[in-house]
Amino acid sequence: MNDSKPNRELEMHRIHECLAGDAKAQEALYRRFANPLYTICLRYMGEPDGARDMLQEVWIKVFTKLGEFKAQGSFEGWLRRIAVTTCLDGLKKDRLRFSEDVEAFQEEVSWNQGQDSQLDAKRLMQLIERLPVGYRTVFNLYAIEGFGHAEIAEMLAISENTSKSQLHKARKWLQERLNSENFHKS
Amino acid sequence: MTEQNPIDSLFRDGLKEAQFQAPEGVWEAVQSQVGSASTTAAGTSLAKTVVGWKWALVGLGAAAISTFALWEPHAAGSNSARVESVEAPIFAENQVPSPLESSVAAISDGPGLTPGQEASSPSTVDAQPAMDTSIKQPAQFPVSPAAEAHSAPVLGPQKPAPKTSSIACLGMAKGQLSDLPGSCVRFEGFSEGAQRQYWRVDGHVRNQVSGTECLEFGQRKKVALVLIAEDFRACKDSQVYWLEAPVFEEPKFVIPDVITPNGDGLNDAFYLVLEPRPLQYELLIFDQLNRLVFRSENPDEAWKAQCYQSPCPAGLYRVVVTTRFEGSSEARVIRQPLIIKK
Repeated sequence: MNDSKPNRELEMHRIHECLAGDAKAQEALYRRFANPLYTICLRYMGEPDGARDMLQEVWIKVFTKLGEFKAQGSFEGWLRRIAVTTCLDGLKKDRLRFSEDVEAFQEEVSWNQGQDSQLDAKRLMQLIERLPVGYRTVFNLYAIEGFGHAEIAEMLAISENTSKSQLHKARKWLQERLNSENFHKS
Repeated sequence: MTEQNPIDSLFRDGLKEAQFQAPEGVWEAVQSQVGSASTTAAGTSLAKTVVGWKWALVGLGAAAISTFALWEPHAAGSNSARVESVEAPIFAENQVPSPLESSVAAISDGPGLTPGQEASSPSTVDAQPAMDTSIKQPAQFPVSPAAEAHSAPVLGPQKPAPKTSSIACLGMAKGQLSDLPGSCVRFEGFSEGAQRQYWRVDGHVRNQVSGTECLEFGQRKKVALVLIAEDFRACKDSQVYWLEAPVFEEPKFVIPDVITPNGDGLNDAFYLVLEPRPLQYELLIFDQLNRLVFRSENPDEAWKAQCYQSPCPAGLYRVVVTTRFEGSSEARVIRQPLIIKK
């Protein structure tokens, strides 16, 4: 998102209008950020119905906590954090479980980028959606959100080793699918 | 700091700018649910006054009710094999019953559920899950979509809810659940005198009188569907329908670890025994050089030990089977070696 000064001022203006109860400003804010937040929900929930429910909860939280937004940071970053934590809460409520077995994750997971470096976003999303939920959650947090294993362990109440193991399994699972696609193309 | 990995980079870069279209109807649902919540942090002084008044009354009502009604699930009827019970009304949403009204409701209509009890009783989580413990009041209270829509069609300052008797419409909410294949159910509302009816399915609002829903039980033994009916005075009644999780047998799972493709008719091909038929299935077989030699999504398809259109050499192979059976929300991945003997 372009966080230039005019855009930021417009954003802050809109936030103040929302806080004043302006329904049009609230809807405009929703329309502006609904798609990127839905994309996050889809990445974590793995299916459209769950993502839709989460998107709804995310926006309820956003409007509830809008007054707590500190103007120093990026508004979109604030929204993204709410989306991620809401999805994690949703997954925990659905009894998200991680296998505690710590397999040897030293084995290198490699993949020849070659022809598939241009995989489109839709295909990438399909692969993420098919990941088992534990793998998907840790992969999203580590690979896409950029959290470290210590932070992930704290967020999900698991050990760092479990986080590493889940990430390794996720990469391996994705690698197998990517190789499989290469196989079918060749 | 996270380490760099080509797979991570592929997904991070590929999805960085990606935006998927948010489904229709979410804004309307948000608008109807939030109500005055957006004013809690920094709304107008008018809104703050109204919310404060409303919450003071809710606290009074909840405290009074909690002295009378101890809510406990009880079987009161059955619509189908899996529909376990129909509960008495949860509470008359949108209204703040007086202590007297609350006690009458609790005594005359069996166990009732109050907002205060809801938060403290684990058994009630399925019926009306709290939105999120991190959300400040008043959003923690199970805000009634219709109630908010009635009193405040847009977010922001609103009029207080009309005061009507909470017992005036008790018994209005009437519905029915019918089993569908799998973990799916059809819900229908038949509330006479209701101007509006809607359902909460496993805690999520469905703004419709009837529909179908496929439920995810996870580890839970039952989930709740709640029918909420509202009459022209904005008086509300609700009914809770409990659904028991279907019992699934442990899947039968046989994966051979040796095959002998020598043409003698015994163990010439690799196939899996899977009962019942999985909802999701994928078989991958890799050779010793980690090259994929076989892939199938058809559980009936056997691998005839062919590698690149010719018989595979004897040796060690690796099998990866991904399956998901009915009753499980998660795919199961099994990896094991496979030996080809000639």
